This record gives sequence, structure tokens and C-alpha cells, in this order.
Amino acid sequence: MARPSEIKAYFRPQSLSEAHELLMASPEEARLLGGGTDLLNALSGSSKEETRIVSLRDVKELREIKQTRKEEVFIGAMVSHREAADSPFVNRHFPALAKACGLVGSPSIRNRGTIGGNIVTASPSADSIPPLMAYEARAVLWTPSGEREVPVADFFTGPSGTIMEKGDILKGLLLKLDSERVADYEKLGMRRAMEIAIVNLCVSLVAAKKTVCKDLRICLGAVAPTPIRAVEAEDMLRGLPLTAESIKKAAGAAMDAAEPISDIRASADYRRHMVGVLVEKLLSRLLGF
Amino acid sequence: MANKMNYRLSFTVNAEKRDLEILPHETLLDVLRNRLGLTGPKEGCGAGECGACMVLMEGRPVNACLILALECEGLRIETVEGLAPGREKLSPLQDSFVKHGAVQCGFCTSGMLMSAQGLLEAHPEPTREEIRRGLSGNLCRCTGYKKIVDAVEAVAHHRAFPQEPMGEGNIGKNYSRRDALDHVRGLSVFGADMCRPNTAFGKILRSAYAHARIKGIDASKAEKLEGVLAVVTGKDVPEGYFGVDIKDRLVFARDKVRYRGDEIAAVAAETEEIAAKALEYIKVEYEPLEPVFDPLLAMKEGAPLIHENLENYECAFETERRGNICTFARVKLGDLEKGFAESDVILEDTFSTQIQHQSSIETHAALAEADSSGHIHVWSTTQKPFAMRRYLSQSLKIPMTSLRLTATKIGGGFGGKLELLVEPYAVLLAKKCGRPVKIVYSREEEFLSTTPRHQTRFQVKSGVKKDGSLVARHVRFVYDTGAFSGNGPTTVTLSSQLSGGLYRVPNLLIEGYCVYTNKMNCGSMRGPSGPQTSFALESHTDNLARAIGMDPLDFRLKNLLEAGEKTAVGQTLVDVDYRKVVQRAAEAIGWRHIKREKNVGKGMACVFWLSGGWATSATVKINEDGTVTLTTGAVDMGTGYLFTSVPQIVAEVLGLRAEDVQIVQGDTDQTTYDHGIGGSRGAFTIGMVARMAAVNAKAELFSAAASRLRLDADNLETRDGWVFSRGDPEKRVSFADLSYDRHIKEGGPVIGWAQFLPDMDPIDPDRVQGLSFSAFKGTTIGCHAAVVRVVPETGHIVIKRYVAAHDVGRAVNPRAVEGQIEGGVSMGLGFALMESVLIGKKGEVLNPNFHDYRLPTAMDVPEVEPVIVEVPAAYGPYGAKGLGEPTMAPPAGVIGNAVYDAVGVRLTETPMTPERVHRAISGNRGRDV
Repeated sequence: MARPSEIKAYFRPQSLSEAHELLMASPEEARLLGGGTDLLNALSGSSKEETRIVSLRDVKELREIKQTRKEEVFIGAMVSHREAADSPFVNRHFPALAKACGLVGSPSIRNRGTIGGNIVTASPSADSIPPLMAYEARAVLWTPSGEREVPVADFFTGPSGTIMEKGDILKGLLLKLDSERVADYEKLGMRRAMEIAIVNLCVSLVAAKKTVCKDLRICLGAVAPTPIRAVEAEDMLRGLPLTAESIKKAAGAAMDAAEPISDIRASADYRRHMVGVLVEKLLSRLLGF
Repeated sequence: MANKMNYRLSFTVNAEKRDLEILPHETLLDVLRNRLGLTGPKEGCGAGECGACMVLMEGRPVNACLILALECEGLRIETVEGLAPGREKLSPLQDSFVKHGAVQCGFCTSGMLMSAQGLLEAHPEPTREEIRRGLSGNLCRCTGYKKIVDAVEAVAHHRAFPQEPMGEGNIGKNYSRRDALDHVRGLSVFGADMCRPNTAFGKILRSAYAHARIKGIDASKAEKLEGVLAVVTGKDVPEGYFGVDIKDRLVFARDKVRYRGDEIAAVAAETEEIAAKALEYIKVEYEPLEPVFDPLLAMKEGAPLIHENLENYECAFETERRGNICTFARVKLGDLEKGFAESDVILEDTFSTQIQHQSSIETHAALAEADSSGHIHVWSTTQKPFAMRRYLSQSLKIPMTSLRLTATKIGGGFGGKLELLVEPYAVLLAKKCGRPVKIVYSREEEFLSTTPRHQTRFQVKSGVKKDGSLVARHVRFVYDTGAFSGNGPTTVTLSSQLSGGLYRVPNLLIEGYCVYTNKMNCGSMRGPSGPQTSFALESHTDNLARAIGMDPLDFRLKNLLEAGEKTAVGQTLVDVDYRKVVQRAAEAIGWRHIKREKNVGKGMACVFWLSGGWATSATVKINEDGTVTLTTGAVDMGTGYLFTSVPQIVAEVLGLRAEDVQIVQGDTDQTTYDHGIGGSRGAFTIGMVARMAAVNAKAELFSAAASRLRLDADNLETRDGWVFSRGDPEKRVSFADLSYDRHIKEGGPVIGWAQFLPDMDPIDPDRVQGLSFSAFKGTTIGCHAAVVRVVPETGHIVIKRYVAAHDVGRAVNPRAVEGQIEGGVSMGLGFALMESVLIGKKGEVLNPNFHDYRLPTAMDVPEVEPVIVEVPAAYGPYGAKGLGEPTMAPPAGVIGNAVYDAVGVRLTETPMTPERVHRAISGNRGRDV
């Protein structure tokens, strides 16, 4: 089988600053290693570039899930999908994120794969990204000169492309506690496990007594070069009564927001159509229709 | 590569502290297998998608192939070797796997056990659904998961395990397969586990074009690379054409390449990495030719010719060959025109099916070693050691006496390990570099250039009377065999027989074509032609029933052939009862009582199957301690017949217990001839010859006992290792004494041997032309039925119940029979719903991996309900018939028919993916998607 044979060196720093130093010592060759479920596959594939691995395994602060400021939660980049999916805290406050993390690959992939890795890999079909966008999460990028926060919604520039600059280390995610907001996640695939989503999406909603929409977010994956928000669909409902009819209209607008491609997993038409079906399904479920 | 730094790694493996020096790129799997010599963790994909390498890291299941070993510093790793407290004892999970029949080929077993162990450590009392979820990262191709879930559930909920059979008699008893003990400990030696001192690693350079002339090959740079031991190309090999029926293939492409994956050169090097690097250094100059991928286009006049020399190839049977058509088969009876004229309703349907891949979790592997006299020993994952020796001899022009083939444990075969694939390259490289050479295919290579199931297109036109009787039928099918004929002619022959084997059709014409295209050579995947033929004809059957307003069950019962009648090719059916099988399936699913619900439907489909051909032989030897050794040239590819049914049959003849029978299998220097395992011939043909050999050994025992006891041999009986007088059981002598005395006093063994060439049934030469063989005697049918729910919004199909009835003649080991049915259905559902090898515009495989070539996971396969029907075959051992293959044929027809019943749309293409179902439903409702 293919091997990551071009790995020339391996480092295991104990702190972010040490990791940063190693990263900058050979910026062309150094790669940060999280769980490795994406990186090892990438390095075993066609990549013939010499690589120096900087493992984040021992950087403790990347493994935390904790309440930071009031009303805000930090989820470290090295938190595994399993830890996020099993965390009572995440389940209570961000159930759609827990659900999405619980649907990544397989149990063993979830044991190793990390939420930070899911973001920096920047696959358009990443499971955790639509919920993070729907919860308005911000990515925390660490450099020795300080941290900066970027909304996850603004993080991606294309398939595998992010706004991260050389030397940036994704430290984790900040999510606002919002007891009024409800959210749900759906993943459409052929199999019930080990699937790369054909379409995935998360809808979060704040609705007064479940009737008038105060706020909502419709975040779609695998239907554009990056996960996207269906802003027009959101606008169609914001401030308005939620009915079966208005939901259907918003679902239609979400379909228009999708710019899917046809590939070996599905056609563009099917993907677009499924966006409509699933948006309607999620909103109806959240509203108990 | 030599300048890489070594790193220290200290970690704990199976409670033992380990300190190693390793390279930074080594994965945990590399270190466990190559540095610590553990064979429990297996490699099936190298990408975290199969689960064969599953180990526990700090108690959690992880894919060892996706973890750099250095990440394990200071951590606790457990492999399957660490599960059992001592060598004598098994852990509860290991024991449960053995006793529940959860082990077939054994290749996924270690990983499966580790996931189960991890699951139970985290969730001690999981539900069945939670178990399925917990195992969803471990692919199993053999079992259909049900018995694995049973095994885990029994441990979790402290249920008693099935006990080994006690008391008299061996037939119809659920003996556990003996080799499962090694499998659950991770001790079995599969292809990639083979090692010899000083082994080098081989890799194969494959064509970058689907169709091109080779203008030149320059390997000089590769030869100079440090660590490269040998490079071989077509010019190093004599021109030995080989092929199953049509000899149209060479070991290396010479003048031209015919598909993306055609072998051009091979390299042996000190390490796999160096060999891979050397391949990049080989320069091949191509002149691209126009390729053709669509078999219907390839059949047309003026299509690019793939084999310009087709008519001159040696061919083992008579058939029409022209253009890209390498086989034309025809079956004709009655008067088709007249039949259609007499029909009340005439329907015509077209169906198409995809390329399905065997996807054994173990990839192909071979190790070849030449001794100083030039004798070459090859260990390989082949299903056919004797045929493989012959193929090697033909293709490489090496005398057979210089070749020895030994089959390793096979991690799933399914017909994928029948042909000459990895072996010749290992042989050539070993000869050239003078060291043992091992080649292990990558998962990608499996998809690029092994022998998957043929893609087909069927056109079926039938005429029926209003009373439901079939009057006329015209079946036309095209099998896309890819770049070489391989098993294509066989498969077209089988499809011709299957197409006319279920129903009485007085006026029938079957026309089958086998066509070359610039794709990989398709071959014999489990039940070759079965799923395709069953899907097309059984979907069409339902359409006919509905067209005349008849229940599909009644329509089938009216038209099914009966014992004594002839199939289309003129084979007379004996020892069958089709109606019984269909009725048992219908009863089990409750066909007539299923409540009508929205979007819920029921469906059924049948398959006609033939099994059991070709020669075999075996010896049964009574050892000096009274135990028995059965020696056979056949192998067990994972189904377990050699470790369940066959020893049970031998034990039954001799009055022993199955565990007293040792098995020696598949080695051309140590066993006598067997044709190779395929065609569902294991339990049937090998069972038969084993029985005959045992009968002969028993006669030897009786003759020795008769003189010793001074009794007539006719008055003797055997039981529990004793020969005794029927009239006076006190007069007795043990097998051990008879054997020992014979050795000591006469020098000879007490041995029986037998040869067996199953009769082929005659077929009617006036009816057929272009078939590559006549009919196997072992005819049987299967009938499956299911209830499904369709989710119209997304196109998903949810299987609520699935019943599979098969006439197995006699279930020698009912649990093994269930295992074949459950596993076959799982594979058939993969064909029906999700598996498809996709070919791109340039002939490239678009999904050579386990994330886009989807095998059903434990969460995707329903709880299959096997129904064992026994209509004994006079010609089978204790009445047994072949079973492995037909089990996977009906699911696509079943699902298609159930979907039609649920939502009223007819699916004509497999796999029936959600998107296709959705498109069909939307189209039917006149809505644009």
C-alpha cells in the first residue's frame, strides 16, 4: 500500500510557541499533525514533497473543552470527533455539532480525527463545518504575536483553501452559548457509515414560541467549493411567521444558493434538489411540524 | 532515503514495554507487523477505510495504518494477540466469534475483534444497533455481519454460546471451523504475512493509457537506482500467450497496451519505497490509439480493434469471433415468431448492470523463491494452485516440474483470485535477482487490474397468455469482458444457461455476446452472470405478471420448471423442487399477508444455478494414533467448507468426530490434483471426493481388521475410532492399532484415495452453439423476498425484512450454510444498492478506494433471514449441493421488484442508488428534478 514515505523528520513540541518555532524553521516542509486521518492519506497519495511533521499531540491547551468568557465556549482544535460527540456539554449546548461529529467516518476515525483537522483540511463536505457556521463559531488562530478570531463562515477560500497564513496555528473554536437557539444536522449519503456526504447541512433557529422566526442560519455543505450559508433563504424567513408554506419557499431559495458540481458521488441536480428536501425537513423537525 | 534519521520509540504493546529505533514515516501498522512481527493487524486498504488494521490505543479502536508510530510514544497499544490471557485460552469475544460462526476467511477478524473489544470497554451493554454502529468501520466481505453481531451481543449480554455438537453423527451438525482458532488469535498466515529470509519487494509498472502502441521502454535509470535489484519487461519473457478459453494475453504488454493498468514492467528492490520510486524512473514512450469503452460501440463495424489478431488466437471451444466480439453464444428452441404471434401480451425491457468488484479485504499477494537448482516455490493467495502452476508454466515457459505452488490462507476470494495476476511478476523478479520476492497489491491495484464482475446490458422481450403462461422469449445480452477474454466466455455460457433455467418457455431465443473494450479484464466474481441475469429476467418477470394482472408469486409458480423437465439448453432437471423453494420464501416473508402501507413494497426474485464441475482427488490416511488426515489439492478461500463440511463428511464415513480429521490443503508438491476452488464446488465436489476416499480408507481398515479379528469384512462396523464386529462388539480393534501395526509390520499406510470428475449433464446440441462448456450437474435454485420502504424525497431504500431461501440439498453444517447465505445476500445488496467501479473518459478507474467504492457496512446490511430447503441430490455428498454463488444473485431483482411495488417505478439499472431511485420517481410523476 502507499506509504507516507517522504516524511523526513518528526517533532513533538510541548507548547504552541515551540510548535510555531518548528513550523517556521522550515515553512515549506513542515506540516502540523493532528489526528492524521486526513494528513496521512494525503502524504501517502501522490505527494512527493519532503515533509517534516510537527505533531500537536502534546500541546495540552488544544485538547480542552471549556467555558471561557461568560456565555462562550472554547473547543480545542485537537478535540477528537468522538470527544465532541460524547461530550455532555457539547450535546447540551450544541447538539447539532455533537450529531455531526458523531457521523464522521467510523468510530475509529472519530477516535483520531479532530475538529481542528476537519476545519483546516477544508473539505467542502466536512461534517463539522455547517454546524460550526450555524452556531456562528469563530476560529481562533494563534501566533506568538497574539490570537485572532475569524468567523468560521469566513474561513474558507475553496476546496482545501483557508485564510490561514504561514505560521498560523488553529488553536480552537469559540462558540456562543445561546439558550434560545435550536439547531439540527443532516447528512445525506449512500451508506449509513463511512460516508463522505453527498449533501450535508445544519439549520439553526431562534423563533419566538416556535412561530415567528427571529433568526436562522442555513448552512450547506458539499454543494459549493466551500460550505456556504443560504443567506437569501434565511432572509426570506427572518422576522416572519413560520409556516409550512414559508418553509417550503425558503427551502426553494436554499436550492438556488447551492452551486453544486456533478461528480462521482452525485449529480449537481440531485444535490441541489436534496438541499431543498433537507432544509424543509430540518426546519419542520425543529418546529415540530 | 538512506539519510533519514532514526527515532526512538518507547511504548507498550500487549502489556509489554517496547523500545525501538524506527524511521519517522513508519506507521503504527508498519511497526507492529514489520518490526514486532505481529500478524494480527492486517492491511486491507492503507487508508483507514477497511478496519483490518484496527488496534486499541489507550483502549480505543484506531486504524493503525493512519497513525505515525512515533505518535504512540508512551502509549498503550493492544492488538488481537493481546486479547487472550494465555495461549491455551481464548478471551470471551474470541471464543464467541468461533462458536457463533462469526469467522469466515478470517482476514477482517482481528480488526473486528478489536473494535468489538473497544466498544464493550466503553459501552458494556450495547444494543444490536449500537454494536452495528461500533463495528461500522470494519468491513467484512464474507459474513454479512449478522453472526459477528450475534457473537458480540452474546458476550455483552452474558448469553450462552452455542456448544460444539455432542453425540453420534456428523451430518447436519454445527461444528465450528477449526482454523477459526488461529484466525481469532491473529496467527493465520495470509499472503502478505508470508516471509522468507532476505525477501525483496516487487512492484509493477502499469500503463498510463487505455489504448496505445508502445514505442519504447527505457528502464536504465531505474536499474541504476540504489537498492534496485531487478527490472523485468516484456523482452525478458518468452512469448507465452495464456487465457482461460482464448489465449489472448501476455504477462507483459509488448507492442501495445489495452487498458489503463496493463502491466509493462516490474521492479524488485530492497524496500517497497525504493521499488515504487524505481517505477517512476522507467520511461515508456506511447503512441496513443483511439480507445473504446462502451461495449455496444465496440461491437459496431469500424470500432477501434483491441485484438487485431483475434481470429488466430488459440481457442478451446468453437464460437464466432469477429471485430471485438470474442464469443457469440446462442440457444434456440421452438419458433419465436409463432410464439409471439400466439401471445396476448408482449413486453420488452432493457436492463444494464455495473462493474462490481470482489473486494476481498485481503489484496492479492505472492512470494516467489528460486533455489540454486532453479526450482521455484511460489506462495500465493490463489484459489487454484494447480491451475496457477499450469498458467505460470504456459505463460513463462517454465517446466511445471520447476514450479511449486503453495496456497496461503486466503482472505476472501469470491472468484477474484482464480487467474494469473500477481504471481508471474514475483516469479520473474525472483529468478532475475536471485532473492525471494514478495508482491502485495495495493487497494488501488485491486481496482485497476484484477478481474471484477462484468458490466452487462440485457434486452428481454417476452410474450404471455392472459392465463399467465409464458409463450415466447427473446433474450439478448452483452458482457463487457474488458481488454482480455479471461472468464468472459465462461460467464456468457453460464448466463445463457441461467436465462433458460427457471421457467418453461416453449419458444425461446437467447443470444449472448462477449465483447472486448479498453477496460480491466472482467472475470468470475461469485456467481458470475447470476446477479446480472437474475436482475434483468426477474425484474422483467414482475413486469409481465403485472401486465396481465397476476400476483408475481402466482405467475412464478405457474411457470417454474419441474423435475424431469428440460432447461433451455436441454439439461434435464433432477433432484430439484423449485416450487418448494419459492413457496418457502413466500411463507417466510408472509407474502400473502403483508399489509399495504404507503411507500412500502414487497418483492421477490429467483436464481437458477449450476455447480460442481471439474476434476479433483484426495487421500484419507489413518494416522498411527487413529486420527485421520485428509489431503486435498483444493484450498479454502474463506467459506470454511474444508474446515466444516468436508471433515464432517470424512468423520461420518469413518465413524469419528469431525475434530479427528486433519486437513492438508493446496500445495502442488504435497497434494494430488484439484481443479481449483470456484463454481460453488467446495462442499459439493471436494466433499464428494473426500467421502469416496474415506470409503476407500474404511475398506482398507476393514481388510486389516478382518484378518486381525478373523472376521469377514462385511460384518464389520466402525465407531469412535474402533472397528468392531457387528454381531459381537467385544471383538474390536482400534484405528490406532490397525494403523500402527500396518506401518510397523508391513511398512504401508492405511490409506484410501479417490479421484472424482463430476459428470457434466448432456445438453442438446441442436439447441445451442458457441457455449464454452456443457451443463454442471448440480442444479439448484434460490428465491429471496423482501419488504422495503422507499423514501421518495431522497430516493433511499430501507430494507425492513429480507428472507433468502436456498435449496442446499443437504445442510452438512447448517451454521456454515447460513453464513454463506447471509454473506451472499450482503454482497448481492452491495451490487443492488451501492457498489460500482466507475470508469472515466480516459479509461481510468475513478473510485479505486473504499470510500467511493462502497461496500455495505455493518449498518447497511439488514438482519437477513436464511431459509434452508433440503432437496437432496443423489450425486452430492449426503445429498449436498453447491451454495456459495447463487446466494448473491437475487437481491437486485428483489429490491427492484419491491421498489416497484412500493412506489410504482421500474428501476432498470444497478446499483439502485438513492439518486437513481429519486430520478425514477420524479420522472414518473412528471416532475423535473
